[in-house]
Amino acid sequence: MMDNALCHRLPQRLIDRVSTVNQAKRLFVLLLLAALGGLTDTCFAKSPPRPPPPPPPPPATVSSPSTVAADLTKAFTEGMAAFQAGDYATAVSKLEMVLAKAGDVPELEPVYFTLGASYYNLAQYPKAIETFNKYVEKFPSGSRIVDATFSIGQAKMLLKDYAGAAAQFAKLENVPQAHDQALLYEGLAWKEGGKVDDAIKALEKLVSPGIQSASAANAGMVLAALYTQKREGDKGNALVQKVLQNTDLVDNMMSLNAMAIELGDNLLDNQSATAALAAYRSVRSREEVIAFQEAKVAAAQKNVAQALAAIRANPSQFLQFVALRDRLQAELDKAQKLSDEAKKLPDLRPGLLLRIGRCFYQLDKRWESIVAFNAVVTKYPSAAERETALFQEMTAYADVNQPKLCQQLCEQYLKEYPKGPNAGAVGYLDGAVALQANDLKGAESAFGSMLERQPDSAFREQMRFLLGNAKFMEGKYDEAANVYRDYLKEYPSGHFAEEAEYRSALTLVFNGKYEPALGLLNAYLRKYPHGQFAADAKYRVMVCKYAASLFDEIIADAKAWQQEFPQDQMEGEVLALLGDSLVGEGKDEAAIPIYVESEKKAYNDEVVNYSLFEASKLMQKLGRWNDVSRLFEEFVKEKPDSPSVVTAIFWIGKAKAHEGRMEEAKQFLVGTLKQYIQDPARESVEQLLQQLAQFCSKRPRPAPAAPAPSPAAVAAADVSPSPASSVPPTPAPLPPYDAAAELDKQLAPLDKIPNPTAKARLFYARAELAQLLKKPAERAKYFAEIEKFKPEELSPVLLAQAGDDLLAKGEAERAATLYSELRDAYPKSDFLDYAYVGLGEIAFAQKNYTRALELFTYAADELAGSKVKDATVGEAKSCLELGNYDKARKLFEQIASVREWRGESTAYAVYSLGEVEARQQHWPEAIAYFQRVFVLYQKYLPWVAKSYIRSAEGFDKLGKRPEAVNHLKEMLRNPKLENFPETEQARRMLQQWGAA
Amino acid sequence: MRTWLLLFILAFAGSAGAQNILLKDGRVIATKGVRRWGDTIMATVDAPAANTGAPGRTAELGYPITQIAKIDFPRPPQLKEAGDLLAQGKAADALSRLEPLLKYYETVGDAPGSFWGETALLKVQALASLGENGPAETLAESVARHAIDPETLLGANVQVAAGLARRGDYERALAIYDTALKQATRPQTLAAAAANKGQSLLVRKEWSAAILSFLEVPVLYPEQKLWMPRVLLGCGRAYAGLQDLERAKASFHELTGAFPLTAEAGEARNELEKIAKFEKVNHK
Repeated sequence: MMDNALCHRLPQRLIDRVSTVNQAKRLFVLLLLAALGGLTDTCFAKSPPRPPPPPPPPPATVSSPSTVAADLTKAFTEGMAAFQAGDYATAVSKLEMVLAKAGDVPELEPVYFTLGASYYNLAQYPKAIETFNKYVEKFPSGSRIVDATFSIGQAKMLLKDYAGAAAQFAKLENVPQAHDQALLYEGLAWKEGGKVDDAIKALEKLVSPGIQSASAANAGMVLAALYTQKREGDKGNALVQKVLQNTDLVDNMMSLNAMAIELGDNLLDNQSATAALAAYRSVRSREEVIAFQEAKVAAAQKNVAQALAAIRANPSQFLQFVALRDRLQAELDKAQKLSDEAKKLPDLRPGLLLRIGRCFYQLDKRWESIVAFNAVVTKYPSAAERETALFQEMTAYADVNQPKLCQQLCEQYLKEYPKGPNAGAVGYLDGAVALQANDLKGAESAFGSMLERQPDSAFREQMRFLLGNAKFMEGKYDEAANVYRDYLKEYPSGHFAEEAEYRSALTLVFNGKYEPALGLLNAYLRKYPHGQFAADAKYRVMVCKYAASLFDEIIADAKAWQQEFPQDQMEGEVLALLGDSLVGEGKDEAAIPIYVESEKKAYNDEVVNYSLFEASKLMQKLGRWNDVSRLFEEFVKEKPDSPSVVTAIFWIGKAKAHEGRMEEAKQFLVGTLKQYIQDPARESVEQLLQQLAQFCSKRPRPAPAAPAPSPAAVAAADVSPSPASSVPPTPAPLPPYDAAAELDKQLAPLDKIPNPTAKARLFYARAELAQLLKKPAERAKYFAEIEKFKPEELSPVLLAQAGDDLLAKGEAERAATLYSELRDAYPKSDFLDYAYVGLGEIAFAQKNYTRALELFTYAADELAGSKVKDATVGEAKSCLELGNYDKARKLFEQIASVREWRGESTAYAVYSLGEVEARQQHWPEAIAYFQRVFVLYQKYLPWVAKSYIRSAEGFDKLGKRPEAVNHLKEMLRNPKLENFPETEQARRMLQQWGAA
Repeated sequence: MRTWLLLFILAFAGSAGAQNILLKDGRVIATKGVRRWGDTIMATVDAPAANTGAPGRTAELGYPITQIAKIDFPRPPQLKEAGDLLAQGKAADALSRLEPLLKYYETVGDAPGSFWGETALLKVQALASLGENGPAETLAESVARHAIDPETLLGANVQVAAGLARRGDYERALAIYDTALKQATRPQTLAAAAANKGQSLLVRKEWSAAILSFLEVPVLYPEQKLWMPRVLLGCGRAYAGLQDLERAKASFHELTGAFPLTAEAGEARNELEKIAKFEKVNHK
């Protein structure tokens, strides 16, 4: 507040000038000038516009011969004083009087301005505009021209003449000291007037050079909001970031935060999640806002203190600094108010995290969204946003196919928010996710529970129906039937009514209640003759009839069914049933082609296998081995990937062998192999090659004997008996059978295939034969050939076995290449664990024990294939080397105890248990293990040798040299250990101890 | 030695700014430099001239650490630089930024407000990135022993736990990470704990848990870029473990694009080749 005494002091030298009326006027003016001389901004309006000039000091004692002059002076003084005191009405009346009586003199500039300000403060904006306009007209170069122009603009804003206001502010764009504020207010005026483009244009002029003033910072915030309105969120975001880089120019961080959140929300609604995320990330935390506002208060306090210090230091320039002080005090008050508001702010974090979660969700980054939602749920238990976050988290889990985690959250939600706004959806989701994951019990429990807890759920119909399905899939047919019945009662025309009716009938079929099932099935077919389950229903009718042995009817029904539903998916089943019915009527011959047709048309592996082997059985029963062979040959040709292929090959071989046609069997195999031998991914090829090697490993059985001749033929042959005919001829000795040559002969057509995978596999076939013939050197030779191929040319089996072969020969690098190829290209192979164990051994040898442990652990725990023993041993020894003795001990104990693994690995495990103790300096325990090895596992000489040495070392550490010496001498007495390096070591140790 | 130390202090005072000591009783001591002497912080302050007209002097005053609320060290830019360099796989360059900073802060150790702990832990990270696990673990243990700031202690424990994990002791490591995640407030510590926890879970093939742990870094601590190469690589492997090859590829591609020179990017390229081979074999 102004100090009134200071305002009213009059320089003495002017007091004495007194004269006539004109002089009085002039005196008044001079007094006015004197009062104004040397003063700058002092008095302020209560709110914009800019402050009017300070009032001149009243004359202390003026004796004027002119009453008019005195009156004018008095009126002026009183008017100014009234303004100072905030009595704007009085100021208006006094200053109007001055203007009326003083006439039109240039020195009335401050009067016009103060009068305009008074009208403004009285909210008489038209009068304020009129007065300021007069000022502008009369004093175009006046000291307050900028303020007056600005004030006109502000008054027009308040009168909602936004265009007029904008025009006013535009006039000041080129005035340096008003440039920023003018552009800001021009922009605001256009914005209020709904002219967004004009507003943007004005504000852009202000911010484009950069955020260099508080006005620019404010303009930036307004402009960002306008960009959002215009769906130019990226520009809005960029502007927010610029403002944030200049927070020293921002007064109100809370406004900036609100603006950033609003910007983010608009962007998210417009599917611009990336930009929305950037906006949300720019929001400052509650703590940061409080700290920011407090810092503003501190800075404002410092400024006020500095102004006061300046006033104290320079009392003569009081008037100059007091206005500044007052402005700074106003800023301090504002800063303090904002700081107090900041402390009342709620924590923004839960709301922000929820929004961030939504951004990630929209970006299809479901896992990231889960993290954000989960943070709200776990860290802000009382937040209003928690319920929504929990619901969204579980939805995201369902999206990423994590049914268990989704269900856990469903349970949590229903416990914490049983009447929450999403409770109905959550109840449904709980069961639906369980059903999808084939957790039938869980689905049954969830749906059953929800139907009770949420009788009014919007998902009731679905849940009731799916409950029935869950029970059905669990085999609880009676219960399922009840549920379907309840469903149909509640929803007779429901969405799932047809299916519920059909399933009701099915429950009876699966329960073996064929008669009532027949009734319901026929009822369904009557109601839905062309229903979506009609084909299946008619099949089930046949099944019911089969139970009643109504074979004739089935045969007729099946034929009719085939005509009505050509190429239906159930055709295989129907044909199998037809085949069964024909067999039921003793028509085996007729059943065979039906079964064959069924096998070819069925989609279901179970039906395929059933029909295939039923046909084969009948063929065998009728002695049609040729047909058996042909049946399986066709099967192998048509379904080479079927798991039954190897069995089929077996039957082909058996059939042809039965007929003495092993050669054909081999040729068939070769024919099949020709189709697939080049494809490294077909793992069954190696099985077929093994089969071929087996066929070739033994001399084939001769063809069955020719049938016995008829009696007439015998009689005719018996006409002239010869001496020789009474003794059967001795059969000629057979040449030695060369299995390898036989295999080579069979493989000849395949040898012509230039494909490297094929060639490698042929070596494998030869290696397999060598194995069968117990020729390890030959086997090794063929594997050496296999190892010359590139890894990508080899199948999983060859990669696995060749890798092991190379590793055993010490060629670790090459082995690693093969193992890596197996791991990378065939992650679903049955031989995958070879890769992990092999790579683990290589890492172990390189002393990369951490990596070795990872590989072995994965092979042992996740793959658990044929290499599980090696994997477990690898895991154990890696733990030993890493100093993880507890785990190492556990694993070695496990290895030593597995009966199926008895052998060298047991000896090694016991030895290693000794090592576990030895490395921890537990020598008595270590010695006990080592002794067990050379006592109980004498067969495994390498470990025996090592154990003797370690025992001796142990005794020596315990100060029992004699025992140590005895152990070593005992070792040296064992001739089987003569060639081991430990024997030489033992001799050296004895020499060192003087006990040699 | 003292002169040398003071020279260091003054040399960094130019870049780091003067340090005020904020005492617990509310007093603020403006200093020209500080050093640690046992459990006392010695502050160099202006002293009045001996005689009128004589030049100004400085003096050293000691303040027990227990009385100090905070030493107002300005945050050194080298910390961010080193973090950015680590994120880009330039661990050796990061070390060169950190060494002089560490020497400087060693004069005050882990006094409240000192950046010694944070600097030392960054150095641990740099050493581990260079494969120097032994020195990294030794330094981490040293930080844990000397830390008085609870946050520094938690951060050091996280690095010690990383060493345990390298030796296969995942149970203990995970327990330490969980403690840090519960108690820490600094984003640096929380991000380190989350990323390392993810790594341990990944090795144990707990794919979902590993993904959620890794992703805490970009979701909750997005400024902690130095962990992103490891996070992206780990997430990619975990997605592959869940058979979500599309997300796995996206993660690896993001890694090779954003942090191309890191060791993790090299591993990511190998992983992408593996996936390509698998998809080719499986006729995708």
